[in-house]
Amino acid sequence: MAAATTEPRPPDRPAVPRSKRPVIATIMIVFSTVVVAGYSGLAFSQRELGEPDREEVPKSVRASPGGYRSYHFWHSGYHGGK
Amino acid sequence: MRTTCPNCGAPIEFRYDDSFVRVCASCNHAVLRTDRSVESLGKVADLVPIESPLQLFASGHHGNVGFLLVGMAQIRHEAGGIWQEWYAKLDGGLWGWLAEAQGRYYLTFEEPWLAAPADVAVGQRIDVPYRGTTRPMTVGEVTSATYVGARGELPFKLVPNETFRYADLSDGQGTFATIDFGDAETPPKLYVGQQVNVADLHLIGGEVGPPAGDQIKSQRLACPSCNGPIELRAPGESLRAVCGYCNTLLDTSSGALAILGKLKTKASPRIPLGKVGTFSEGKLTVIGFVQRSALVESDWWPFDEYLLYAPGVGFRWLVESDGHWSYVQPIATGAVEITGKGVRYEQASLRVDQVFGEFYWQVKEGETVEGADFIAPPAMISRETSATEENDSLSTYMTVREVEHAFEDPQVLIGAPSGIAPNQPDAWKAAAAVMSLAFMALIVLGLVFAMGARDEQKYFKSVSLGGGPGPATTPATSGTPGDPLTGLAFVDPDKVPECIEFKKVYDASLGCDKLAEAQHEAYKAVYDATFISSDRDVLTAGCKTSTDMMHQAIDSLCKLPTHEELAAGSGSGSGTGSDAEVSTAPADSVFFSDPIQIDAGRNIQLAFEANTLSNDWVYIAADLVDEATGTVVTGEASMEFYSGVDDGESWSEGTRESKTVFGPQPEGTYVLRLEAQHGSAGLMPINVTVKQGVFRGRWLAWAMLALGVPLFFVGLVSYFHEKKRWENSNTGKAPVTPVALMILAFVGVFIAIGYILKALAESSSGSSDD
Repeated sequence: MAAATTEPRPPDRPAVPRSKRPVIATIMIVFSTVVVAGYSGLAFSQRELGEPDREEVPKSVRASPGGYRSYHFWHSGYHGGK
Repeated sequence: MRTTCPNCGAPIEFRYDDSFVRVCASCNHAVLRTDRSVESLGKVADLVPIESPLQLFASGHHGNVGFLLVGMAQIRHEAGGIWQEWYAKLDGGLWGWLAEAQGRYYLTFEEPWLAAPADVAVGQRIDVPYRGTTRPMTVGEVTSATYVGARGELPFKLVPNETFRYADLSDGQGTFATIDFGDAETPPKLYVGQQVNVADLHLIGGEVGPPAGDQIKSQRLACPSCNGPIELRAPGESLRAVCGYCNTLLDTSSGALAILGKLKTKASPRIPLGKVGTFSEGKLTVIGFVQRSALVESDWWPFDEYLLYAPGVGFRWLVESDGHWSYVQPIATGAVEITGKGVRYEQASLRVDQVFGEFYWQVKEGETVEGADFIAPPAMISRETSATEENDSLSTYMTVREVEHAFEDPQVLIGAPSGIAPNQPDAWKAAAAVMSLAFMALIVLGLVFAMGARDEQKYFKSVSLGGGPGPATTPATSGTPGDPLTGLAFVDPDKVPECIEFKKVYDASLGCDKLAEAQHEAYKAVYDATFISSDRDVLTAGCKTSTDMMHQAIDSLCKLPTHEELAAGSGSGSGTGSDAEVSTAPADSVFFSDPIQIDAGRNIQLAFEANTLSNDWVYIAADLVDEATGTVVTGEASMEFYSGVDDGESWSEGTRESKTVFGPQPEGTYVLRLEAQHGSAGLMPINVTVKQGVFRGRWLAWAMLALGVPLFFVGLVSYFHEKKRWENSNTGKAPVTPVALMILAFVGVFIAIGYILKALAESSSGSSDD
C-alpha cells in the first residue's frame, strides 16, 4: 500500500499509489548491473576470460624451427576427423 | 438593525446591512427584512444534531482574511441526507458559503455569471467563471434539496421547506462550484471556491457547543423494532442503520430511529463492526458492511465492502473480493480523466445484496448503479454512475498482511486470496522491466563497442605449411581409406615423420628417470613452454605420463612397439633413448613471422584462412613471442572442411576459417610462430592475419544470454500473471507489454545461443572466435 504523502494535496484528490519495489526487482537490479558492468568492463579493457599466462621460452629454443612444440601441440592438438 | 420578531415579538437584530433573513431564536421563524418592515417566511424545523467542528459565531481565517460564522442552514438532499451550510461574513464585507457534508468542507463565494446555463447534465464539462477567468469543470451531481432548518443571520432569502435544484461541479484540482438554479423567476446563481481542510480555517470560539474533548463520538439508541441497543458511530452523518439483532433497516436521518422494513438476509461481515484499523490516512472505524454483486455475463459475482469512518477524515471503504483487499478513497469529480489504453477492466451493474451497520446514504437491498473499473496496479479507479450522480473512487491494493497489520486484532479473520485481483501489483513485471532496460542497455553498449572497435590490421601473410603425413607409399592394412587421422596407418610407421618423431619421444620417455643434467636442461626448456614445473622429479614424472598418453593415443595408428617390446629391445624403436631428442617438429610445418609491432591496451586477433582446404583438416598451434622479453602467449586454431554428393545432393560442412584472440599484451615487437598439422600430404596454403582492437561478439553474446534467460522466465511468469488478471475482465484483455518483453527475450536468447554455438563450432577446443 502506498505510503502517505507529505506533500499538501487538494482534498479528495489522493496521491496515486505506487507499488513498493519488490524484492525480486531489487535482486534483478543487482544481477543486471553486475552483468552489464561486467560486460562493459570486459569490452572496454579488451581482456579475455581464461586467456593463457605468459610463459618465458629461451631464445635458443624458440628461434630454431622445430625447436620446441607448444603445450597445445602436444596436449590438444587433434585434429580433424571425418 | 434591531427589530422584533413578527411572529412572537421577541427582539431580533440584523447585524449586517446586506443580510436578508434572521432566524428568531425564540420561535424559529425565518424573519425577512424588506425595505420597509420585516415579515415571517415561516417556521424552520429544529436542527438535527450533527457533530461538527463549526459553531455559530465562531471566527476564523481564510488565508489572511478573517471571518465570522453568522448563520447556518440545514439542507436535506433529495436522497435524504442532510448537510449544513454556514454563512461567513468576511473582513471587508464579502459573504462566503461554507458547506459541510460527509466530513468535507467547501468554501465558496458568489460569482456573477450572466451566461449561466439553465440546466446541465451529469458528466458535462463546463467553463465556469472564477476570479476573472474561466475554469473547465465537470458536473458531478444534478439534484434538488430542501431547506429544513436554520439559525442566525443569512445572506439570502431562505424560505423554510422550499426546494431548489442545484448542480455540483469540480475541476479535480480542489476547485468546487455549485450552480443554484433557484426557481423560474430568478436566474441561476454560481458559487465557486475551494475544498478546504477545516484545520486550515483556524476556527476559534462559537456561540454554543460542548468542549471538544466531550464531543459525542457515538450515540446509543434502542431499536424501535426489538429494543436492542444500536450504536451510531457517525451520528449526524448516518441516514440508515441496521439492527444487528432483528435485522431491521432503520432511518436515522431525523435523529430518532424509524423502522423502514425487515431485511431479507442477514449479513455476516468478516470484520466485526466497531473495529478500528490504522490506514494511510489514520485510524478509521468500521461502521458498516455491504455485500454487493457485479453482473458479469449474466452471473452476479459478490464482493464485500466495509464502510470506514473517522471525524476529520470522512468516509472510506475497505473492499474485499476473492480474498483480495483494497483501501478506497473518494475522488473529486473532474479529477479523473481516462485516457490510457488497456486500463478499462470491467463494466457491470452493481447490486446491493446485504447491508449491516450504518450508512451515510439511503441504502436499500437491491439498489443498482452502473460501475466501471480502470486499473493501473496497485491503483484502480472505480466510477459509479446513477441518473443523478457520478462518483469516482481510488482503490489501493492491500496485501492480506497489511490488512491484518492494520487491525492487529485476532478477531479480524483474513483468509487467503485466490486468483489475481484487478489491481494486484505484479512483482515480476517490475523485475522484467528492470531486466528489459538492462537488456536494452547491453545491446546499446554492444553497438557502441562494435562501432568503436579499431579493428586495425597489423600483419598479413600467405604461408604454406607442412605438417601432413607425407606421401603414402604403403598400401593400407587397416582403417578407412581417405581418413585423415587413420590415414597414418596406410604407411610404414618408420617412414612417417610423425611416427618417427613419436617413437623418438617415446624412446626418450623410457629414460626419463635416468636423465643426465644436460638432458634435464633440455627438458626444462621444453616443459617450461608447456607449463610443467621445472622441478626435475616433476619433469620426469610429467615426461613419462605425457609420453605414455601420447603413445596410447597413437599406438595403433603408428603401430609402435609396446612398452614391453621396447624394453626387451624387440620393437622397432632405436634404443632406450638416453640421448634422445625431444625437439622434433618438421621444419616445413613451422613458420616464424616477421616482427610485428603490437600496441598496448588492445586485444590481438590471429585469423587463419585455408581457402584450398577440402575434405581435410588443419590444426595450428600459434605462439606470439615477445622479442624483447622472450615471453610467449599461446593459442590454437583448427579448421576442417568436408563436402561431397550424396544421393545426387551436394553437401558441405565445416569451415575454412578460424580465429583466436589474446588479451592486451605489453607494447613491443613480437614474432608469430605457427606450427601446423593437417591430414593430407604436402603443403597447406594458409592466410594469416593479425589484427588489434577487434570487437568481441562472444562476450556480448554471453552477457545477453545471462540476462536473456532469466528475463525470459521472468517475462513468462509476468505474462501468465497478467493473463490471469485479465481472465475476469469483461472489457479488456492482457496488455501487450509483457508479451513484447517475452518476445524480446526470446529473440535475444536465440541470437545469443546461435552466436555462442557458432563461436564454439569455430573453436572446438580453444579460445577462438570473436
